[in-house]
Amino acid sequence: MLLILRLLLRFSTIFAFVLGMVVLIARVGFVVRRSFLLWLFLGYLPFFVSAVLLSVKRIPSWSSLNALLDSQNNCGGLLMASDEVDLGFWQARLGSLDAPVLRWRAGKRAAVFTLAAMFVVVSFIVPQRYMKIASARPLNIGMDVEKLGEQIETLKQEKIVSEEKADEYEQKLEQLKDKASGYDPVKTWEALDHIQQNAKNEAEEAAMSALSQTEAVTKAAGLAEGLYEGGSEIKSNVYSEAVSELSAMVKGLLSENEHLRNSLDPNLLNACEQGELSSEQLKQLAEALKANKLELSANLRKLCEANLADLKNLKMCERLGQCDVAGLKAFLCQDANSMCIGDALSMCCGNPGRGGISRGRGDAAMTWTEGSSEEDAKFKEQVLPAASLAALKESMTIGVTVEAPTVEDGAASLSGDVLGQAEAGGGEAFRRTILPRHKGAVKRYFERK
Amino acid sequence: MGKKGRLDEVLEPEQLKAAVSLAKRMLEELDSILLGRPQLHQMVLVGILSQGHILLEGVPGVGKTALVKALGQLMNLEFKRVQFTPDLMPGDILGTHILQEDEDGKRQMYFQPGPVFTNILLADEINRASPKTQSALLEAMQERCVTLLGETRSLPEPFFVLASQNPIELEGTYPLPEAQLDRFLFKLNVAAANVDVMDSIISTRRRGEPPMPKWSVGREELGVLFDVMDKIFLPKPVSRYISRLVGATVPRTAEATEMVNNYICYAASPRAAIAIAEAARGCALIAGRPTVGFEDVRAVTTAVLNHRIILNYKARFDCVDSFAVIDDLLSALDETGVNLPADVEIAERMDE
Repeated sequence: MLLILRLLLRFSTIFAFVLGMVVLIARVGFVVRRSFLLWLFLGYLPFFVSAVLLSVKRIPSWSSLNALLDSQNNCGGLLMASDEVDLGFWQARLGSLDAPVLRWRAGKRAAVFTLAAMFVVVSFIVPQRYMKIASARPLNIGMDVEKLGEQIETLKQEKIVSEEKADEYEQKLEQLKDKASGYDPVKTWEALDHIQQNAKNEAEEAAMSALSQTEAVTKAAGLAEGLYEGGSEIKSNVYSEAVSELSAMVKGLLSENEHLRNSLDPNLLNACEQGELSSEQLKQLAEALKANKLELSANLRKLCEANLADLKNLKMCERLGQCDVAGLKAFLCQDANSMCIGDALSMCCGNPGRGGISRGRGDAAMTWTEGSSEEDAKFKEQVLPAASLAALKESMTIGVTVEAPTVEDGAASLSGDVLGQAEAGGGEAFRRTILPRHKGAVKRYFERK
Repeated sequence: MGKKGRLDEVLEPEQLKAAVSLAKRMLEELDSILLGRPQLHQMVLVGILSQGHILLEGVPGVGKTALVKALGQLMNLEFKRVQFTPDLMPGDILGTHILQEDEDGKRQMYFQPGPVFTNILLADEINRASPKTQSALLEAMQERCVTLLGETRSLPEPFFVLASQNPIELEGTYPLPEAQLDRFLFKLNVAAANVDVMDSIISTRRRGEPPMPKWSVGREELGVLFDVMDKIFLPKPVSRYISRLVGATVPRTAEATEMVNNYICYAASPRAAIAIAEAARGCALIAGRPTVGFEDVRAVTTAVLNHRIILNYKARFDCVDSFAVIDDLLSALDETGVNLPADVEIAERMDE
């Protein structure tokens, strides 16, 4: 029994050290739950069985034990001889025998076992947050998260995103900050890029909306101011047509522009809806629209300052906010029948520019140059990759931009990789995704001469 | 004499009692003749009971010759003494053929037996004779017979060689070869007597002459002792211990100690194991036990092994002698074979 206990203690010590190490590695390296790690205690079973089997194997033979008993009781070989021959008279000499008392100096082993057991306990009870010390190399994304947080806050203040969505973004950012690991930075950067892209998309959409609203507000404000200044000089038929045009424009604006709706007086709103605006109401409307235009511009400026919108949008906004009120007044007073009020507004307000396939606003008229001859023209047929073809088929027009399209240097590749250029029908192929962060580097590499 | 007892039975107490009383009386007589050496006397008696030859080593004047002479007188056997000198020839010990004329006037070669044809041969200062003469004793000691001119003659039974040698004055001596040393059951060191013993000797004995024994053992009584010796039972664990002890003197074996590995050049032979077993039987008889115990083995091991293990030069440099190696072996080897782990020990009893 003592031998079994002794070996059990030794094996238990080894098991405890191994278990402690495994638990630590599992918790540090793989963030495994503690409840799951408790199953590791089942691993003690082989240790226990091995200890018992080895101990049984090491138990001394009967003759050895008999010899020990003989030696301890000073039997002078009589006891040992009793195993082999009949002692006869000498049997009585043996008398009562005292079994030897074994003493186990287990102090050192017990101390080591206690240490091992404590190691196991500590490996289980250490909170997971301390395990992070070694779990991963820290990835410093604090600056990025802070910057992104400010952008989301701006979007939230400008009511571009709802509060719920903004909170969701912030939670995601917090999670990213907590789980950012130097061992897998790509995952973190991808997640950050995704959130930033979403925020930029929202801001871009808002900027586009602000630009289109600025243009509409400018036109409405210019028309209202022109009507107010023209007054009686404008013919009645032109005046009524202009007022109804203005009412329609204001109605359209009110459905999209909440600020404007809140800033207008209810009487003025009724007048606008009925299309009967007095001179004073025209003045009020013009002022309200101008104030709204400034507000839209200020909002766009904030987006630009938050690096969510391009500065060219702000410039566009300023350009769209300009209106030749005097010209418009002159047009209204002169009653230029050859042009409708809409055309006049387009001429006096806004700047559609000259259109082309690579320049001008989306709604700008196309400027055609001399047509090219198709003679001797050689066209190279190109089969679109399956993905690009599918993307084209599933594409739909969601709006017309008020700014010129961005033209990149060189031909924009239809797909981002070499395999994408391969003939279709080649079966499955590994598609390497170039991450947004790396695109610039790759592009610069190929541009370098 | 020499009749072997059965190995599957234990001596009857009456048989043992008679033998033990004889042995004790022999010891008492020896102790009374030679003062202050009870342990040496016991070992010599063990050697006699084992029918082995004994080599006594000691400086001059410590009583080696006196002990052997007293033994011869005590055993009432034929006793001869040979003083070994460098010019002693084998024929001077074994005997020689001489040409004699018989009554008919016919001349024939007759064998004249040497002093070896006796029961107890005292080979005094054996290391002074030449190796040739020393070797003449080889057959006599082992086979207890002498072969001369192709004719083998048995020596009388019992036959003991009690040799003495002087460890000093080594100039002009011939150390005994290992083969001959191995023939001796024991090599016993005879140390100088202490002050009290010397005082007793010079105050009670004129010129230090030991008294004659008051009693002697006859040939028949000796035969009884040898018969009882044959019946002393050797249990298997004890014989196993003896084998392990002798086996452990071989360097780089499983149970060899560090000292054995470092210092032993040639290990003890199986003859050593046989000698230990025989001597342990003698010890058990003197102790009045019908079986051999571990303590008997421990008591005789040093005397049996000390001249049988040959140490290397490293041992000489480190001033290690065979006694130190044997003591180390005895303390390191677990006699019972239980081989308890190092951290488990047997608690001493409270009543001890």
